[in-house]
Amino acid sequence: MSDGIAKGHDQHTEQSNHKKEMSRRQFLTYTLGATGGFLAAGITIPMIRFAVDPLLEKGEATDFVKVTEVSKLTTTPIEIRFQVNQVDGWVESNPELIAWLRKDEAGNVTALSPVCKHLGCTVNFVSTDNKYECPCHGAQYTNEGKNLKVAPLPLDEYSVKVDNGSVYLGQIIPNHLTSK
Amino acid sequence: MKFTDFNQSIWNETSAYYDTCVIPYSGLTGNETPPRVVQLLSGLKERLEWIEVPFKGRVITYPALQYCFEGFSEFTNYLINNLRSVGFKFVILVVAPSVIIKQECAFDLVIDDRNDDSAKCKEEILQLWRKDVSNL
Ligand code: FES
Repeated sequence: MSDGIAKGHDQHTEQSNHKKEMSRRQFLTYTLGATGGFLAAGITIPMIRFAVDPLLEKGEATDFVKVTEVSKLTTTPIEIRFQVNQVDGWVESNPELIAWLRKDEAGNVTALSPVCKHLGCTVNFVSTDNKYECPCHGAQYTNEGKNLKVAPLPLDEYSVKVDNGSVYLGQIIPNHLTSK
Repeated sequence: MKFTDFNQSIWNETSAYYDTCVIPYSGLTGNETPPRVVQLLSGLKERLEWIEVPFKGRVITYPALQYCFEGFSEFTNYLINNLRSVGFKFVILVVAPSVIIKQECAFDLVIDDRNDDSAKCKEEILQLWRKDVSNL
């Protein structure tokens, strides 16, 4: 029994010493750790920010690009290829984009994106049918981009600016022509 | 699309639409210097983009065969059979510029220096699909 009590006491003393020991250690860990952490954060946060910032920025095409003259457009869509400057993270590229441009009966210039709204193939305008057709699974669209079959949505548009007889294209936006 | 764009649920939903598989082939022998490898692989990448961009919704690019090896015909025939068994109807080999395939192989189409132009390459793929429709 007494052994047991004595042992218990010894254990208690050991434990409290241990607690003291731990708290001294903890104190050092916390203080040095915190200082170290603070210093490290001072160095690494700007580094992480530097490393991550460009990745967080969504790659965007820059503003409007001049693509053609209004005088070259008719009511039949024509294919125009143009390049945009794109910065994605650290990677700067000049991808080639395609737009189908026409002037409607009122003389307004419209530009459609050829990316099929089914699964993303590139559509072509078939002038004999006056329709856009997708070579992949047969989606069809009117010359305003309204989806006729297979695709669930109309073709997207480019935002268009006309200035001094020149046509400029900007960002891709959802089709508003077909809801008029 | 690239094989990496698919997870199980996308595949379950859309696999019926992707009937064409593309195998890139770099054809390296080991004799190439690093800049030559870069040149070959960027040429191959450009050719792949001629297909991947306009036919994104029907074509899937699989991992590449990088080095040339003995038994190319046997291996690719085995590969093509397996790809057909998972549902691909067409298997296309896209070869790095200046690499020549001397062996007989069972690909539905080989894109190499003979069709080295984006319009030609697109047209060959459309013809392949059209032929299949007219054979139905
Ligand atoms: S991607 Fe155009 S119809 Fe399927």
